[in-house]
Amino acid sequence: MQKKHLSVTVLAAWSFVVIAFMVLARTLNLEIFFVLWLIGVLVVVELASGHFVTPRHLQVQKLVIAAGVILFGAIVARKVLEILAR
Amino acid sequence: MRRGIVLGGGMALGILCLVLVGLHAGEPLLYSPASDARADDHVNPLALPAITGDRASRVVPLIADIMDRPGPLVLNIRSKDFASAARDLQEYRNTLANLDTLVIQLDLTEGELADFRRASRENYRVLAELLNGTERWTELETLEVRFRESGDSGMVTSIRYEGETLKRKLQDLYRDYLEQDEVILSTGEKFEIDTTKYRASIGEFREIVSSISRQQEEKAGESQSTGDSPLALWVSPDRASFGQTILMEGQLLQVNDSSRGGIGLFVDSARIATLQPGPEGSFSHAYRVERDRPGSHTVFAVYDGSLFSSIETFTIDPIPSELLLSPPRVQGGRVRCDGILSAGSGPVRGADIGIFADGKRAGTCQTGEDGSFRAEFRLAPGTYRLRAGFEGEGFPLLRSESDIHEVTVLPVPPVADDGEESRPGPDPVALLIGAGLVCLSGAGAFYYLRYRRHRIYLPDLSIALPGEPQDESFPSPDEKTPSLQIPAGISPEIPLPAPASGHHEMSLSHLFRRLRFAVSKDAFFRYPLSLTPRELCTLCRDARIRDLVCSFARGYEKVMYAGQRPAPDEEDRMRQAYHAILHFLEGTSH
Repeated sequence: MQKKHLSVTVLAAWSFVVIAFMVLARTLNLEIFFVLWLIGVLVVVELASGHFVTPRHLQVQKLVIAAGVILFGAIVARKVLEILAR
Repeated sequence: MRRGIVLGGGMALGILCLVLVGLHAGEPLLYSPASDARADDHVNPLALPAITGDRASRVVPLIADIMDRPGPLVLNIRSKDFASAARDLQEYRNTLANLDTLVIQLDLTEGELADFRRASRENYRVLAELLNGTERWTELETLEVRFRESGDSGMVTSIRYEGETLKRKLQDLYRDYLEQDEVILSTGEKFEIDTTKYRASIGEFREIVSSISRQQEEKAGESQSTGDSPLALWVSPDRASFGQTILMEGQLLQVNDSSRGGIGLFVDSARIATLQPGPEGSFSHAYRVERDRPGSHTVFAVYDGSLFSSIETFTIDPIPSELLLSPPRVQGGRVRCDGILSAGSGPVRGADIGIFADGKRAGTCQTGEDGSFRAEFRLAPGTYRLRAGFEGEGFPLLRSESDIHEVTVLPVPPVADDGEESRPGPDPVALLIGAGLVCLSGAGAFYYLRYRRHRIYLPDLSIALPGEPQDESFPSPDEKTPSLQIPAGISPEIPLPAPASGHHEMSLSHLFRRLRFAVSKDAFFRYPLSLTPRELCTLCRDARIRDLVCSFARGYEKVMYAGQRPAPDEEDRMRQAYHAILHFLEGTSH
């Protein structure tokens, strides 16, 4: 199985596990889902990319991760502002 | 085939996710009638009956639990199993806390449940004091026996007086417990909850108080037979309320001037003053009623630690309190409430005041020396009905509430004609923190993309290409490490495997991958698929095959990277190197 296919499978399985637990806990939270998905993508990309070479599709994926990190920062900032406003 | 399996598995997982979410689509979690209540200007009357039904199903078991708790607790107190009673009391407290949490979660406000919570909290206080009082009563019994045996009559009298205080306190507690009956039992009937255990706890409570009262009266009968005391004490008036003064006067008789010491004055067995008797042996003290519990209280005086007066009593009656709330002021999303709490003719100092917005607690504060209070809190934009509330805890006062004021918190700050905001903008510190976090995440993303590198320290790769000078670090054949010689059995005439005509690159690439796999397996390289020919050559640990690997790498680079066709002797050399390496690593089976 190629790394590309393995990565997609693992990421899909991880998303499934996250959603399944959220449904079981009866708390579908998009922010938590996004953060957990981002963690999964980070792990998969880091494990799939080699030390010497990075496949092109993973280079694109790193751009997605960078955007996700910025979005994650925005979510944290919003939460902090909510707490401070109380 | 494999790709099909992977794609099929991925699609199956995706469909499973959708099915799982779809199963709960009928009962949305992200947008439900319960969460809908938080939205401004949005009321869904059709959802209200469903919410009420859901709330009842969650609240009723907890109410039943709260009603059942006092039964075993009072029974344990009566049987003097104080450790178990303390555990029961803690569980009772936890259950009350659970109800408070549930009320917040379900967004409950006023109504009968609020009365039930108040009555249950009062019951908790009563039962906690009952446990402490009964424990103390048991200790006093032990101490009395010990001091009676040692002949210390002063201490025996002191203990009896404290017992009298305890008796009256427990009687008051029983009355307080009975006062909660109506609310508790009516709530039980409303929700059709079995109240047998709660009713049994009332009977047990009465038995405890009756037993202690009976024992105390027997002791009081014994002490009265000892005669009149030379220390007389009068209390007037015998009934008072908050803010009034009780005069405690006395006279010390038959005591020489030289031996005169201080007279301790005790209310509920706690010393409140030490007085010096006058020339005639008289003394007096004005006691202001402020933070005493309503009910019966005891007073006695002790001279020189051994001479006791008779025990006197007075009663404090609860009176209504008056809570005034001025019209609240709204400024920039913050609401300021001012008011005053008074009772009788004077202010109430140091009392806790709660401010409620639409029945939910929005702020708390404490009254000052003049009974005034001020609370400031932030509210989300909207219209609220504000009122202040005083529970009366710690004071001989009845609970009171202020008038209701309606306030509107505007969502957008009003802008003056000159364009300047008339109220302060968002908190600059909060904005700074938010902006800092966003910038930090942006810097993290930039670092991830640009500067993050795997720190791998490879040896200097310096394989000389054809025509380039040979680097000194490149392993040369004349080093002392023994080099593998091409076995005699390997002939240059052996053809390269599967050399498709006109596709040197493809066949060479296949050979290189085969070679790289064999060498990496032998040397345990971590990431064999990412190794280039030069890296394979440099990382090759086994010096015996290193020359052959490097020789193959040179030829490979010429064909693959320089685009040259290999010379016949170069082709023979690569072929020999390939077979020699595999022969060495895998034997003749390759």
